[in-house]
Amino acid sequence: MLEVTDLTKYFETPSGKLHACEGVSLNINKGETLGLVGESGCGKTTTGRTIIRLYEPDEGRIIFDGHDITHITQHEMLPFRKKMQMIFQDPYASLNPRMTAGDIIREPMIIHRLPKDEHTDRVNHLLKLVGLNSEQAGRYPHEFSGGQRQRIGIARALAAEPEMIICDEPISALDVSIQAQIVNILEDLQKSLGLTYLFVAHDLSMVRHISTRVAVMYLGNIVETAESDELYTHPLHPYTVSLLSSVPIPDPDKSAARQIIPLKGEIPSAVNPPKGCKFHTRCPNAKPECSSLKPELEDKGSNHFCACPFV
Amino acid sequence: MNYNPEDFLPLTPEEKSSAEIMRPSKTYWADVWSRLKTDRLAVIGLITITVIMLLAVFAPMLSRYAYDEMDFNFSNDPPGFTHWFGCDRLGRDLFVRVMYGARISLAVGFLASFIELFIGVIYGGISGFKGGKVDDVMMRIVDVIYSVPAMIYVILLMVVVGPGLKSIFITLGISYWAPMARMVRAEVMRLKNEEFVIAARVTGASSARILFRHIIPNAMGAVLVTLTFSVPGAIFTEAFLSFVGLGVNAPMASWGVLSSDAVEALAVYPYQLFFPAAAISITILAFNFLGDGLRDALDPKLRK
Amino acid sequence: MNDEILRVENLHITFTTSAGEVKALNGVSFGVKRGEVLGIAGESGSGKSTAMLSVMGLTGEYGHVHADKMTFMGEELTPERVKVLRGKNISMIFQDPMTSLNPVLSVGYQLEEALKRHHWEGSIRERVIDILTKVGIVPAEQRMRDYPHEFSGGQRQRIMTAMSIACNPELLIADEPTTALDVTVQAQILKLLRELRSSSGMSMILITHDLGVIAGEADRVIVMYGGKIMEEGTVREIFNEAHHPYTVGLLRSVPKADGSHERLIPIEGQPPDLLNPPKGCPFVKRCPKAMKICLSQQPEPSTLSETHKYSCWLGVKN
Repeated sequence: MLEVTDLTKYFETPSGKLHACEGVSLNINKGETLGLVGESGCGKTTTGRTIIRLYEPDEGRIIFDGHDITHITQHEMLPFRKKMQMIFQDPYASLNPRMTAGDIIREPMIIHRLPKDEHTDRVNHLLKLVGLNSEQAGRYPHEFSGGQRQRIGIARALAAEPEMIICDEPISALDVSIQAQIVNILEDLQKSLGLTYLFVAHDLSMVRHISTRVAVMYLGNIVETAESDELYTHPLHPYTVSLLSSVPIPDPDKSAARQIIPLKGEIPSAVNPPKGCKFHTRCPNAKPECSSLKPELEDKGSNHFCACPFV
Repeated sequence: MNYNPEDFLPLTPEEKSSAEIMRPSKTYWADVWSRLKTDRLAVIGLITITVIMLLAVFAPMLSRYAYDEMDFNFSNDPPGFTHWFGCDRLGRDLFVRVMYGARISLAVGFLASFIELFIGVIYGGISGFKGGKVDDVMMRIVDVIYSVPAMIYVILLMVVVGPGLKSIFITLGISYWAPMARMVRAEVMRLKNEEFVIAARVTGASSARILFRHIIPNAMGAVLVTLTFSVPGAIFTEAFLSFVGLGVNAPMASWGVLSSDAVEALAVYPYQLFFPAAAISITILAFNFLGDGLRDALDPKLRK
Repeated sequence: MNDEILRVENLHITFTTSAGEVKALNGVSFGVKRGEVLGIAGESGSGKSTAMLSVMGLTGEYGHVHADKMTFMGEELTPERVKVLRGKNISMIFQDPMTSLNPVLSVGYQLEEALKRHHWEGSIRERVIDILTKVGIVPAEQRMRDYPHEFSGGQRQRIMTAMSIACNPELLIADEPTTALDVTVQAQILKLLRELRSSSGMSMILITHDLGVIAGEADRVIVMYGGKIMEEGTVREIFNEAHHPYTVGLLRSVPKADGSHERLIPIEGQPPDLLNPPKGCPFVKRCPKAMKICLSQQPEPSTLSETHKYSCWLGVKN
């Protein structure tokens, strides 16, 4: 469905070139969910936004549905925008406060010229699909709760009948009891509509739950990818190991029993990333050669790839 | 304690949703209006402006006197029952002249805001939205326009078209939209990185659609406030230019002309200055009250 | 009850807003024992932060606070008394350290000011270096001259922590101290707080929506919803033997730690509207076990053990 090779995106900043994502390669099969995790500033959001061509990629290739969309114009991109949609993190900021829920959901249909007489029916159908009712179409975003707004955002993403949705931290701004509602809706929609997801998030336990495969990012690089259960039970890369050990467990006994592997120091600046393996400044098993070698993702068996030669 | 066993029957879905009270739907502007209504000063300002507008339109029509009708019998007559505000040196009724002046002053004020709205919003909108080099060039032009004092335009225009209302209108037309353009540009710059605008881009919306459907409607609140604050500025500019003799010509009356005429006789007939000056002050104050109230009512903190 | 350093009985807070009266807290009682960590779990709008702001006397002019009793170490917490204790005996860390630090003053200066304000006895400079070192801002002599923007988010939270423990408080209130931070940094800050507690014996109130953090850090837990306490108990009683349907629902809506891909069981419905709260139990609209009586009133807490209580008609019924 989606094949990304060596995707690189720099941003010019006053203090120098910011390496937001560097040599990112990933592919997503039809109907699966790829989780993209990492801490703030690791480039996961940039990766998602570059794939959907909100940013112009500096290097690499993006093949979507068999078409190279790396450098096509925004006009040529239009038919792909119909097929590839996005759900955003902040349900308060991602809906235009001056438009009603119905108008927000209708907009993609207008842009992609769906037959006009079907618009209203389709809006009502989509509202129902995400668990809202059609009377709510005339209301404004501020009249909805956070979870309901996120449902409107999902309905908007579905309006043009996409095949793939990039979910950019869709649940991190929501209350715990609401997160599960949204995750369930996303899973149901995937089943009934055969959707493919790129699920960008920092909530590791939710990512494990929803994803088929997971890719872990650190400072603009993917350091490890594997099937989701494989990654969580047998993490290989020292960063993944430490990251997973830091996730709080909602169970006092298990929480007391496990050992957190703390990371040293602070995350380095992406304007001036460390040479060699970018993680070597904080790695608990760093070796002298780590500052010069450039680790590539290596196959460690059973579809598990890791960018560390020492594991 | 004793309880009725029926109390412990499970709730049906209908009963559960009956506990839910939906607040009535309100559009954004209805919400702003309801907040504005509670601001006493803003309401006073709004009423004052309405009254002045009605007086400006109807008072000269209904009055027994015409604004340019001279009657030397009443030359410098003090305020009284026949001439409420008194008469000037030439025996013209000051009440009618002040009301007639209101027409000109308000016309200038509204024309200026009209120009601001159209040129300022579109210019600033495009500049902020395009960004980069386009923005640089467009904003430098604004800087140049803004750096030339209005006086220079008027004096230059006087040479070409002669003094009068026309040159004031042209002056305001050339320069008055610059601050609005800057404000709108800043708003657009902020809004274009909001998630809902990014969402529209992801959907494939055209630039025009994004600008006019998503960005500008969200900047309208700030535009309205700037507009309200700039009307008194335009009125004051006209009054000032007329006062120094660069504006409206006799026998036409504007508040500036009336003040200017009255100054000569200030020591003897102070009331001749009082009425036009009061009109200017009250109008400007009213617009400022309204602007303040609007700014508070538009505060992005929506219903909690 | 004598080893309780903070006691709050029947706390009510109402805020006046343009849209009407908002009942943020409705009859909340709790206590904190010496040396213990009280976790307060709840979602947005549950009133968990408001309760703590009222203890600190920081609810602002629109908040009307009423409590039957509010004492700290046996003394009545009057507004005047709070001003003396605040920052010295009771201190607080907030979610966003950037808003609590003054951007134009060096962190060392701000720490010194805080110590001076509370009449620290002994060398202030030495104390600043000492606590900065303690929270891991090294070399402290140099870094104390830096300004807040020169530190990362995690370091700023360390500095805030340093500031809040500078005067050796008896009680530290941490309001979502790690919510804005990444998990690896969160682990560092939680570890730091744990070390500080074991060396000083201070008590802590930890407010968070993250059940994982509560499970790892708290001794006792209060679960709040819609301005009321739904359930309280030791951390094991809450996580292993939850009784209130809300607590049960909350625990079920997070993915299992074993990574099973079973469908999640969310709590249906939307958070309560504080402007129009239900008359009875605030959770009634979303409760799978709601009964007729729940619409009109909420019962007194049912006691399960000395420490475990929950407010639900199911408890009365059984």
